[in-house]
Amino acid sequence: MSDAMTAPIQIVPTDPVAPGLHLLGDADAASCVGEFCEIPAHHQQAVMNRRVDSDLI
Amino acid sequence: MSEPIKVDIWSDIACPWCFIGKRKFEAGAAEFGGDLEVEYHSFELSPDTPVDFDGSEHDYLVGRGFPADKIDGMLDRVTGIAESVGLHYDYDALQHTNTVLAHQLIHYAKAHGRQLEMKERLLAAYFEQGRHVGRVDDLADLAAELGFDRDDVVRSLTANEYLDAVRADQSRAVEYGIQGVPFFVIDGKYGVSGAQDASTFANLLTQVRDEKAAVA
Repeated sequence: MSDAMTAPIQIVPTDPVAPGLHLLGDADAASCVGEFCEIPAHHQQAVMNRRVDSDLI
Repeated sequence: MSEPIKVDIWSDIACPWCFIGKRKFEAGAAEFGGDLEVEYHSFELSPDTPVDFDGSEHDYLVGRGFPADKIDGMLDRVTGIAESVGLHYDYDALQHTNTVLAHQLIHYAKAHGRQLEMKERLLAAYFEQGRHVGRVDDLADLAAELGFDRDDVVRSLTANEYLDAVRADQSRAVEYGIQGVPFFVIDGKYGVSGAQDASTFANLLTQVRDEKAAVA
């Protein structure tokens, strides 16, 4: 199993979602809300980099 | 020996980031190396989706108002990111459907101690194998492939045996304020939204383990 993103991300507590529950991690991580599944900019860049690497091969 | 860390994951089947996020979480969990107790919970991103839709994912999204000229590029990018974590999405074969019965099947499997196996099977069936995951017979076939009693699965799904369990999961999601998935709740205290990097999951789990050890 491999993983596209390996750079460490600083874990910063942010606003609580509900009492007693605090959000951690990358606030821009990809998720689906309703039928909309956004692709954050850093994910698009990761794919672009992979395609460039493939082209070089 | 320390207690395992509980990780509750809200997720849908028809959710490309949920499968990608599952792989990233699994990679992070492996990097963490400690004991985890993982439980999936139901979340319907689009509960008004019809069981049967005669058309491609592109057609479906156009019908839902997505700009036609951007859909193929978007699906290509998601497919590329899925490939980067070892998943082979096939949007040409994918059959868009309502997922409430699939969620009931996951609860059925949980009652038999095999929830994680069923969750994986349904995600792969939907995104990689073009299998239909919205009808009783198709779901029973998938369950039978895993060795479940097909007739009993048909009975359970037909009777909506676990619909209340699905709704209970969704109520908890509302209580937590969860609006998007995947969403991870670690040790009942920390919320982690989206398909995070594997190292982020590993760092979070390590942090939680250290906190638990400090108060023990």
